[in-house]
Amino acid sequence: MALVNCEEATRRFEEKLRSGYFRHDRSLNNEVDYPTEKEDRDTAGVEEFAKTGIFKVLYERS
Amino acid sequence: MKDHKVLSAASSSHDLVKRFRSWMSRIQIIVRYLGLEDALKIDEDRLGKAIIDYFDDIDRLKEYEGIEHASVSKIYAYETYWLVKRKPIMPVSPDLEDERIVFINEIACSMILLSNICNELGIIPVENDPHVEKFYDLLCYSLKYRDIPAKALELAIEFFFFGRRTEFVHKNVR
Repeated sequence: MALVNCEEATRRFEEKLRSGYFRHDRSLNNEVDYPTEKEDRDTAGVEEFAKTGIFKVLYERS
Repeated sequence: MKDHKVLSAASSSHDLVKRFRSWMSRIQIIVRYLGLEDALKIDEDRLGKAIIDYFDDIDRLKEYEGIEHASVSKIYAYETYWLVKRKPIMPVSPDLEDERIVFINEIACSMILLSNICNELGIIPVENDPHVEKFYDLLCYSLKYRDIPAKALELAIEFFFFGRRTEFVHKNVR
């Protein structure tokens, strides 16, 4: 392995960092605001689910 | 005692309070439909702590990942994880006639998680469907006896959504 001058390598890294060279690829999503758009829906959904036939069936299997 | 960091942001306070109310409602729905109102109680402090733990985790992840809104799979997974961990549903009496009461937190969270993921897809599970029963059995067993990290639950939920939402093309079998 060819030896690299650490200081120069660090400087190059810092330049790339500042320039946005390294893409932050973890944050890509278009999710909605759960509290305002889905939370009440899910609470109502639990009551709907509890009324289904499968609800008691699953509890008996637990 | 120091104010919890999550409580100092106005919007977070509102979300925390709303989530506490939502989970109190959801748990009580489950308890009521199982006819266990006399056998169980909800420890409000444990529920509150679970909600705070959940928001601590989610806020940290959102900040780290630079996202404004968490995905529902992450929300469902982390809610389930912290509620099972904190176990807010408690038996009224130490004499347990029904052994399932021992695992009532895991059972309730399994039910609510199943409801949520079906609700997100706009579907209702069908009675006597062996696939639903098999999935529920594994979910409930995992929450009861295995140490499942929230991120693993999140991945499992995403697999479920992927399977339901994706259009697959069947291979031609010669």
